[in-house]
Amino acid sequence: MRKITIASVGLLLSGLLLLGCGPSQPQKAPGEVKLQLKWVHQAQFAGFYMAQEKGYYAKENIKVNFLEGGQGIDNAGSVISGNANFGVVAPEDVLIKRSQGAPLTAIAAIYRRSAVVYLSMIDSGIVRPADFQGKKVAAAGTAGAIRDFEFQFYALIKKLGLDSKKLKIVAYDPDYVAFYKGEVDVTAAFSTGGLIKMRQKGLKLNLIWPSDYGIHFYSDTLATTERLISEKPDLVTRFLRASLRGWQDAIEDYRHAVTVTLKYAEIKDSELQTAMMEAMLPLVHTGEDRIGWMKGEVWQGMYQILLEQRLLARPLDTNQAYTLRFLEEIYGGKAK
Amino acid sequence: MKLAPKLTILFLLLAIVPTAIVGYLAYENGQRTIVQETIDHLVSINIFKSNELKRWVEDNKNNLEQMAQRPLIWQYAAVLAKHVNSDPAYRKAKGGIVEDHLKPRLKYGGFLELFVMGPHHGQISASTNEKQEGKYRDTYSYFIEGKSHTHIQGIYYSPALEQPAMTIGTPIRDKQGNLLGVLAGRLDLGELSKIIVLQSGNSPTEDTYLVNTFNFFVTEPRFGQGYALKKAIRTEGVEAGLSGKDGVGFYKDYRGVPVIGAYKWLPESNMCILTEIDQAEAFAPIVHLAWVITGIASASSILAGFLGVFFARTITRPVRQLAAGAEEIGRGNLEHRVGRASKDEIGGLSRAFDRMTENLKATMVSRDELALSEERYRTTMMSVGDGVIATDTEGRVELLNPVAEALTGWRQEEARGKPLEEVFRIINEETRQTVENPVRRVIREGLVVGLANHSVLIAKDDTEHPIADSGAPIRDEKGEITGVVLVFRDQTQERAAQKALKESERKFRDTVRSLDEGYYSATADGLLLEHNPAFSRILGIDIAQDLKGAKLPDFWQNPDDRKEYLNELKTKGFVRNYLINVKSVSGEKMVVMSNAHLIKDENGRMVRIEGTFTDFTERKRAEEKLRESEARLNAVMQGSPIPKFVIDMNHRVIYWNKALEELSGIRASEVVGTTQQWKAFYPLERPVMADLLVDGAIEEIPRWYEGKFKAWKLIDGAYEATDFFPKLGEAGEWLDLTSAPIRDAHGTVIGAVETLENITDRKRAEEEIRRLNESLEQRVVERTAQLEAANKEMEAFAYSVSHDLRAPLRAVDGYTRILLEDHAGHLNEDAQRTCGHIREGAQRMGKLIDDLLAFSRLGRAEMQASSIDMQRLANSVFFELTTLENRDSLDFRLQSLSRAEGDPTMVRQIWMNLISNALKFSSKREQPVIEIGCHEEAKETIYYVRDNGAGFDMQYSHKLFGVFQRLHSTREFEGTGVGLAIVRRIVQRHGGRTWAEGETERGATFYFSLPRK
Repeated sequence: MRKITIASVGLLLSGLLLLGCGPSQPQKAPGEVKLQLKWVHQAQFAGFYMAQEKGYYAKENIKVNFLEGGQGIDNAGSVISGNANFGVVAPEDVLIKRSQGAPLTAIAAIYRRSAVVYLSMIDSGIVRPADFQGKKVAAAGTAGAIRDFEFQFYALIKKLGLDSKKLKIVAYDPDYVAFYKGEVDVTAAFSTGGLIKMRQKGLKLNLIWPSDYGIHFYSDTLATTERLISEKPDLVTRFLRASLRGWQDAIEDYRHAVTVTLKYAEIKDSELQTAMMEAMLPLVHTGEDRIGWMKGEVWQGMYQILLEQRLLARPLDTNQAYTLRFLEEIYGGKAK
Repeated sequence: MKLAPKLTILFLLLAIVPTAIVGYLAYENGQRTIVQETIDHLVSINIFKSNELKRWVEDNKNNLEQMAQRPLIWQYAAVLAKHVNSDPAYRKAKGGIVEDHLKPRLKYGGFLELFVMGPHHGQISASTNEKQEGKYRDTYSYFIEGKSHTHIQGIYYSPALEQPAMTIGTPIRDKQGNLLGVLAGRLDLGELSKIIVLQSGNSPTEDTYLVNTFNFFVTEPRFGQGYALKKAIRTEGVEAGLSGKDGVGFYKDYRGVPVIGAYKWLPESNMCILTEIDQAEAFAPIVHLAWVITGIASASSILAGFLGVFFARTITRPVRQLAAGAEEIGRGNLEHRVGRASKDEIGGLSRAFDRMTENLKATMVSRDELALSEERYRTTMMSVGDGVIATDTEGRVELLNPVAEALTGWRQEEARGKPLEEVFRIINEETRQTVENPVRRVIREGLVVGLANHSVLIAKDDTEHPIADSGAPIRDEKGEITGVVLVFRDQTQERAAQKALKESERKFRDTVRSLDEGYYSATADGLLLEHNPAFSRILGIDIAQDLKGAKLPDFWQNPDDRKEYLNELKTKGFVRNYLINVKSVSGEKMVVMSNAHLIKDENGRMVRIEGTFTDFTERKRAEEKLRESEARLNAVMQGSPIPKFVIDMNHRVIYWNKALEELSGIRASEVVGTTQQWKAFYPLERPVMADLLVDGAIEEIPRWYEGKFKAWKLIDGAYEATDFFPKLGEAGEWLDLTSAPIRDAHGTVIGAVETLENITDRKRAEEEIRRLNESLEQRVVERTAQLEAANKEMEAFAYSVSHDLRAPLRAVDGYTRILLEDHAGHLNEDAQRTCGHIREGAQRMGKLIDDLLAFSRLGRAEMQASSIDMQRLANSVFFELTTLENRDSLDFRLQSLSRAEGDPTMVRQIWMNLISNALKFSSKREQPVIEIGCHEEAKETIYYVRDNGAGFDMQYSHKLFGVFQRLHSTREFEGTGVGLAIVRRIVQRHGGRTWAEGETERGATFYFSLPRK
């Protein structure tokens, strides 16, 4: 009896061992991926940090290197040149670059609402774009993200049929000096940036959201080259899956996301990063669809605005500018 | 296990087991009930709150619908839809709808904001919040859906409002059913919150909250802050609820705390509602119950335990007592009684037990006594020192004691039953015939048969022992002979002892016979009993003669003296070295020295005198001679004027002569025979030289006479020492002591003699001389010091004088020069010449004074000693003092000069002066010769400077080196006359000498010596 027991146990053990050894694939070396961030490390990219920290990338057998963006760094260019495999870029860049012939494609919209907001002092009486008439608006600028202010501003004016000549458009000042002094009536700002700073100063403001007036822009989108999509679609899927999981975790527990962000961010101001994170949440998790989901009509809308403002070299088919393929694969075809 | 514990355990089991079972069941039941209650409670809360929620939403929804259907509303809406906002009609409509309808409705609660949107783009045309007007709401489902039917947009985050919002939208239609717009109302989520959060009781952990399909909290949970629409929750309860189920679960909540949670899916709101309570709280009553039950169970168990113990003991006590009693008895204590009065079985058993014990005891006692008695007899028998054999009437051996066993060589077990003859074989020692077995005789005659002599027992191994034996009948109480007991003893030792005694006696006799001393024993009256040959010999009796009946007093010269002798004998019991004047048989007088002692009988009466004696006559004579010689010696010693004393080998003073008596003040009578010789000399006891010599303790001598002794050459082993003895005389005396050992003919030290000589006077004289010497030296030192001082004074004086003299001289010389120079005109040749003379004179005097000064300085100057190359020095001085021309005409002979020790500067001066003198005085010669040389002596080197100059008369040589001494006039040779004085001074200071030799016109040699180191 004993002998049989021992034998069977032995057999079982060896069987398990074999199972463990046998069919397991030899571990492939993790795929190296470079992600170009839109700016320096900050809460804006919390989801990616979460994906890294929680090992989602590792689980997908990917090793991700973050490339910080910053002053003078052409994020889209970085992806196009192949310096980075993926990039967090402004959607307008995708369209503009595509119009210039660069084969950039967006695979997900992280920020489905734009952070651009126009601010006036609470008692200024300026509560809607119509009130801009005859006022000084600090919204001009072509550098990087500040272009956003211009696009949306002009789009607003056009949509609402306002006469741009009746407005005084001045350069956007990231320090809002003139605005504080009252020399400028309205300033553009990011709800995730300047607005937080002003509120920290204790200012009470009127918020004028472009989206309230039919101007719907995506903000940070995740883009890559057509080449990568065609050559390594599996890599793209895995990367996106891990990234979206990271973003999911980030919005579900934003305080933890802040802690993780602080590991990367140079500005270790947890108050600031937390405020940024809080401001970001409704832009990423809109209550509709899933994180990263894109709508054709929004792309179309953005395209139209850019086209009208003559920012595109030539017209293009917006359907080429983005693809829902990977989102569908990841979410199982379900938007919700 | 013992009975008592057994019973106790039984009791406990009986108590505990049912209690435990019941308790457990009660607990289980209670637990189930409580859990069920809790669950029911949670579910009911869910139901209640969800109903409330539903009702609230419904109410507001209905309200809104109603409002949308009001005619005024749709009329206004129609206006708003048609016109643009710049239109006054538009504004009127807007104002109307807002002020008359929308804003008043807000007062009723439920809505925070009511607004109307245009049908095409959802642009807010009118709103209770003016700031909202103009905004497009075409992306919101309350508009999109609200265009067709009332739609409640579930709680969402509004970026514009920056807070969660829940909005109901409902279409505004005209009578025809055309869409005119959408009326929307934003619900007051505060009211919703209130519904959800409402507590039914005061449970500390009960918590209700809503979760949307994105897993976000919709309302704030009890233990969270800022979670609403900001934090996701994925717990078992939430997952179950969101999957559309209604139920209850036991899981960990968002805090990780185990809870009981009821979840319910609210399809209308697209949310799930959860009500949770901490398991800890829920189960608290259960825990409480458990404790209560456990407490009761434990208490009852303990009680049962105690009771069990108590009863068990009570029941088992009698049994235990019985058991203990039995054990006690079993141990042998037959006095013990269990004693039990009770009427039960145990009591009866106890009593029976006691009775049994009694009987047993009685039996045991008699048996014991019997055994004891037997034992006593047996051990007696066995302990007897003699051999004992007991036989029966037939003469068969029954018993052998250990001694018998040893002697016969038979062991009892072997011998028993055997006939005695076999075991106890006796033969006659001499005839070696078998002796009759005493047992036969005893049985025959019935008497005790006594010890036979000369019997020898042959043991089993054929060894033989001489024995003495006797037998006796053993009779029973009736007097019948039942056996014989034979007792016998090994006589080997006795017989051996007898032999030894005889032998000893013989030896004694032989000793006495061979004694040199006369031995006798006599009666008190002096009747001679025994004597030895020496006795006869000493007394001049023929050895062969029989002295029976001789009377000792006959031998006494004076028989009366015997009385004294007897007296001493009687009192002391002995006499020692007693001299008796006896006469020999031939009448010759002699002296014997006797040692005798008295032998008394048991009554103390004198029975016998035994003694020895020797011929003392010779010895007496020798002793007398010795005494004479001693007396002579003593006279000699006593007469000697030199104090002396003698000690014997025991350090006792034998002689202490008169001279010593006088010296020490101790009389001979005080000290002779004692060891107090030290008293004469020292305050405390210590050995004197003689003591040390008697002991041969030569190494001790330095210890006692350190630095004061030496061996005395005249006698071997004698020592001499000198020391001061403060005790003697008036203030102590110096003594010179000499001691020598006294040896006998064999060389053994038998004493020591010490003689003393009083050297106090001599010592004092020595002391005096020493003191004088010291004082002399002291005087010399003083005198030298004085001289030194005088010298110094003189030098100082010379110095100051010459110094003081210089000043006026300078004046003279100076003024005269002035005269010569300045007033040359006024002075004629004669006057000038006179001035010249004055100056010369002054200068000369100045030179004299310089020389004097130099001279005086010599005395004061410090000398620096170093080694001087005299050769080079003399040479260099010569060259200094001469010119090339001089040297041409000069014959300078410089021999090799030894080095000297001295002050170089001063020695240079010597050469200077001497060489310049030589040059000066030989200058007049055609061929001046100057010779410098030296020769070395033992203690000094002598240098000389010789010239062939003017020389001098030797009779004035003593003056040469004096100060200002000149043997030539200034006209002949210039000079102050101090030069040589300086040389002498310097040389003297170096410890050397100066002298000169010369002859007038034949040159001079000046010598100086310097000491050699």
